[in-house]
Amino acid sequence: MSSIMWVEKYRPRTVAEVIGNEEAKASFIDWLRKKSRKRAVLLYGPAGVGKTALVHAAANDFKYKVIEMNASDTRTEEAMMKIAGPATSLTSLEKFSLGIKGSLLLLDEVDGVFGREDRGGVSAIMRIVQESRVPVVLTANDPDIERLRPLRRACRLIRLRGVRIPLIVAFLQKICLVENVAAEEEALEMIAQNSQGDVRSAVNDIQTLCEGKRTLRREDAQRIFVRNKGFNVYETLRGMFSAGSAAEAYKVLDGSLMDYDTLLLTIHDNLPLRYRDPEKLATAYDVLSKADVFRGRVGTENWQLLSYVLELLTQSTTIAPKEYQPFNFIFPPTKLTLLKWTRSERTLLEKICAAIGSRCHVSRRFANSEFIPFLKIILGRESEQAAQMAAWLGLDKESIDYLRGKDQQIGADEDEGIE
Amino acid sequence: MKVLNKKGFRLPYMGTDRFRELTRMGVEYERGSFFIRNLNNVESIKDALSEILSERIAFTQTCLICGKEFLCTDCKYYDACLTRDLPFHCICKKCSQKNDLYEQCVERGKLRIKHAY
Repeated sequence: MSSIMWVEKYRPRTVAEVIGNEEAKASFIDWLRKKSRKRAVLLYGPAGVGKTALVHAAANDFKYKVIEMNASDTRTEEAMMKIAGPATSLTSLEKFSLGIKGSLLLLDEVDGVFGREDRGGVSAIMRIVQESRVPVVLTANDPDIERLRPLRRACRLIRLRGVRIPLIVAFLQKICLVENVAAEEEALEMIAQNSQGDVRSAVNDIQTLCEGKRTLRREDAQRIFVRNKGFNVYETLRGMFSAGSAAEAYKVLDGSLMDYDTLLLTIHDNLPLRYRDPEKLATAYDVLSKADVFRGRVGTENWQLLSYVLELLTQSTTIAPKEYQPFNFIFPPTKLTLLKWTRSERTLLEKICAAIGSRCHVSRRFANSEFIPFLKIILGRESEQAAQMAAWLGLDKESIDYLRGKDQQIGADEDEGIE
Repeated sequence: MKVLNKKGFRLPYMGTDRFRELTRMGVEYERGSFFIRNLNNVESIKDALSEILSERIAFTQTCLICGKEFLCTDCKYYDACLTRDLPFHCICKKCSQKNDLYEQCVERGKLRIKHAY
């Protein structure tokens, strides 16, 4: 067994040694040199494409000292400010003694800051980003998660994509040459294809396969397991809507990271953009409605019926496979967005129904369907009787205003919150 | 399939709304040509451009070794590639048969960085 991991041994020392993502590299160097407008940058992309390696390599090239906090550290507000606070404000002595430009703060895998252990972590990162006097680099796999939304606004975003196969093959060839391993090109191609753009996993695979050997054959490479990284929202939608057959769409769905309920709603929203012909659109909606029926039957225990749901979902996206024209997908589903917008209104209505229910000994649902419409009319007249009724039911001013139809304010407030 | 050069391409009249949508996605317009400013969202841009041109589109690739423009369709990994037809750098078919590819990529990379800064 080698004493050192090859991923460490062949870690890039300069930006030029980082393979792939040329545009992202240029953009990052541009930011680091000019530090234009935004103090912080968020590098995002799948694992193993060189986010952290790029930061270290660039710091080495441009003489920065990297102060790093990664996922293995506890990243509470207190812990983060303890380390990052001085680093972002003080000029290090090393700047003069070692001839470095200054410090560069690297907060690795910020999408992993969550839970009780990392309480206050995101707000601490926000403070660091806003107050820092040194360049701050954040990395994440998925920047779209809700809690990172403020960070997206405060940072310059640079996306890194999976490294292309010819580049990974070239890198593996170089490793084999240095390690004195005679590798068949087909074997290297198989490893590179299997890695799906993840250089780190490709290097780990080749180290595993070459352990104690001087040759690497195609048959050896077949031993490695195929990595199923899973498709994100965009890849899932694009794959399913552009699939040539239901079987092809099923493959995409099988590897998707989306949950089935969100996917069903998303397909529902996007079908009119996919099918311009009303007849085909009607057929697609018909199939989708059956998928919805089966989803209802699956519930929480009849999971054996799930295959019908998936089958019907894929069918709905492949009614006319040859007529596919690319379009901009609608996501998140409008139903979920609407529910989010009306959350405060629904909470208020629930509160009113609970008050009516406890006073009149009826269920909330009954109160909603049988009492609320009449209450709206009665309270809308603003008579003395209406005031007495509201007092008897124990409704507060907010509830009365809502029933009188002065609920526009609630929606407006909610909108502001979302913006 | 329509081939677009990422450095600049022309588009037919598309109306204000569509133009605004493209700008928001990261496409810029200057002196009659469009070019992509923000590559973070390039898949959506590609779809929007396909919709405008009513045709599938592909971006030319620039070879990291020889600097020539080429198309992904020439590549033997076309089916397996996860980022095909996007406007990025790669290695062309001719250069991929050379030896010491990695060293050449690094050397070219150093030159690019030196020229840029």
